[in-house]
Amino acid sequence: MTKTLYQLRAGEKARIRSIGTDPVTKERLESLGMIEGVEVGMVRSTPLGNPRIYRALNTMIALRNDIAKLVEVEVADHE
Amino acid sequence: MSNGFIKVILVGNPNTGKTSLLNSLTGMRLHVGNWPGKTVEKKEGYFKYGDYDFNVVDLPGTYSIAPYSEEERVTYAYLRGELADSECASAACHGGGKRLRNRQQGCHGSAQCPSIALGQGTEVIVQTIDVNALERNLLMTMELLALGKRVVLAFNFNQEAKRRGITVDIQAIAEVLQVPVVPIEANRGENKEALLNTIIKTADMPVHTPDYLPRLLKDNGEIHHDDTLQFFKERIRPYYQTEKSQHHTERIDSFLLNRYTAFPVFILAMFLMFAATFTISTPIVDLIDACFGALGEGVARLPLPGLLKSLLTEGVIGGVGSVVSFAPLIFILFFMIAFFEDSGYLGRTVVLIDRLFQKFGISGQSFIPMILGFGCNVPAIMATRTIKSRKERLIGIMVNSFMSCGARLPVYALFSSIFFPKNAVLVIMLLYLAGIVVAFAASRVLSMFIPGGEQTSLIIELPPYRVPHFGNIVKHAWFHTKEFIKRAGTIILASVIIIWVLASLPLGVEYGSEQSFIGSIGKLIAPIFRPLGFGDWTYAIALIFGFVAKEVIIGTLATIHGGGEEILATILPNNISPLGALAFLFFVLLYVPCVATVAVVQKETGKWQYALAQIGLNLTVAWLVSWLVYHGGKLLGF
Repeated sequence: MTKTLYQLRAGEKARIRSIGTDPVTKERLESLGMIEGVEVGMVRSTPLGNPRIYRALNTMIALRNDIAKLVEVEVADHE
Repeated sequence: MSNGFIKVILVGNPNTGKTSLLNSLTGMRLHVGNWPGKTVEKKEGYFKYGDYDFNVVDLPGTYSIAPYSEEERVTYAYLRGELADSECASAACHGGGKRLRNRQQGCHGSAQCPSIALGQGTEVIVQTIDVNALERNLLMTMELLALGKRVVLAFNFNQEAKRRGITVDIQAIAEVLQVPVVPIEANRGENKEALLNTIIKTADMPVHTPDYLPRLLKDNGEIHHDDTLQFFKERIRPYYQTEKSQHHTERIDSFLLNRYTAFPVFILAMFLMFAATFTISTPIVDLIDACFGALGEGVARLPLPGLLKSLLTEGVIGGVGSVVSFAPLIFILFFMIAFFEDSGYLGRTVVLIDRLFQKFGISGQSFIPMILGFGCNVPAIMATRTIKSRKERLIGIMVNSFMSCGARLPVYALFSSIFFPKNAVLVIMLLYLAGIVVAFAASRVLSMFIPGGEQTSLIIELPPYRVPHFGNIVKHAWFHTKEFIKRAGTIILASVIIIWVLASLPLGVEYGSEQSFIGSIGKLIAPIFRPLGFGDWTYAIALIFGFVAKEVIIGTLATIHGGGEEILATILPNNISPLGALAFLFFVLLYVPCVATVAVVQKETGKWQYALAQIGLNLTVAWLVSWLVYHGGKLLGF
């Protein structure tokens, strides 16, 4: 099932399908480990709900929701 | 064997221990300058090992060699050979870089040129790698290899990885990558020799390009991120096993970033920081002050000419001593800031309040320079370079001096202990908070006036929590304390002598009286401050000299009144009310930044107009706020 990164709940994991941001932001995300095909997990939200914290390639990354909404992920269908 | 010259270029992702490695390789004897034509700091060191002379050049920590911020552009340009080395001799002592602790360290005269000629040594790139996030770190390794240079990898944080159940077969990984790998523990300087030996071996061999590399390159020579990851999965994964265990960082975060506990903990942490700074240092400060007091009395009994005696007791011992005695306060303050920075908590505070910042037209990224401003505004303003949006950066620069720097703390400490002995910590907290509130409000206003609308988002790594290395923090705090003491011996001593001369002239006048030169100047300006509750001329003079450096305010008052803290405690209450003292502290908090800060604002913005505008902004805001404090307090019946 396809979702955006923003739609992941805490603890949920998914695989990155595409990053629809501007190229500079995309490059930045990739160098931090958010690359198409990589497994990404939503670690937790923050007290004010924005930004939220994700984990990819064992790196914790805080992203604002406006960017998380531009990242498409594929959630593995559960049994 | 003839002497060789090896040039080591240190690169690495942030938080991979690059600074620790640099410190342990060079023994902290760093030479800090600027990249030619850039405002980004360049750190390098020279040392001998075996038959070789080493030159270590530290490049700004980056996630990728593709440039994102100005700092990263330096890394990119240097690695591509587009940025030459600067002249050793011309390097000035400038701060910069992303982290407070890196700044200015080692720029205290030990910056010699290497004994050897600056010839072209063999270049070896050493990349520090956090094995806990190996794949992400290796992305940059591929970029480095694609440049066709000699690369040595220093795997760091192996102990931590072991504790977390990560097993790394270093030898196998080195074989797969066809790159030498050395495990180190940078914090403790472990395996330094092994690393150096490997660097020497690599330097002696021709450049080797791994055979898998061409497959990972795009047509334009850049690295294919997804292909690279695929390569890791197939080739590296078998030698890099991670157990699925919750990292202690996530457990700590579930408390520190929890909806209910995050903000109370944040406020408590800030409170503890200031309470500890003030409480721990007070007895030591008093002790040092008492020593200067005794010294002054001793000198007063010596058979010296009256004029010289007066200069020594009132000026040098009273003025400089009153400032120097606050050195423990500065030490503990910088210790605390470095502790928060190195523990990983500072990054969390950005995340906590990013949303609030957004409402004020700035991003959470501006928060780190603001916190660093609690130490010193000069490096803090340089740290705004990591803010990508030009508009946001300009705002960050303009409002930074509202953040109460360490030099203002002695003024608060002195006045609070005289006028509010029971609530000293609270008063100091109030001042710091007021600084933050004013900085926010000013950001909001400036964001309406400064053109340029591009809003950049927040993308930051949250490093794992790590116990800060005690030695590194102490070294850092000591470095700033030394600067503080050095300042007391130079520009503060000079200011104090000028004040003493002005207070003694014209000949025959009573020292420090209204009839002295300094008294006449003070009385000329004092009316500006009368509506604020500190109309006595001595405060006007103190504020003028405070432009040199904020701690001079104490030195000035001490020189005019001829003594340290103890004497001031009996004299000051005669010419100012507690409410007036509070208004004075607010004025000290907000009025013109020191000369060094004005200069750095000019340098970073490239325009004098901004520096002048900032002075105007600060003076206006300071006057208005102090007026409000004084008259508001009066209305409330204080």
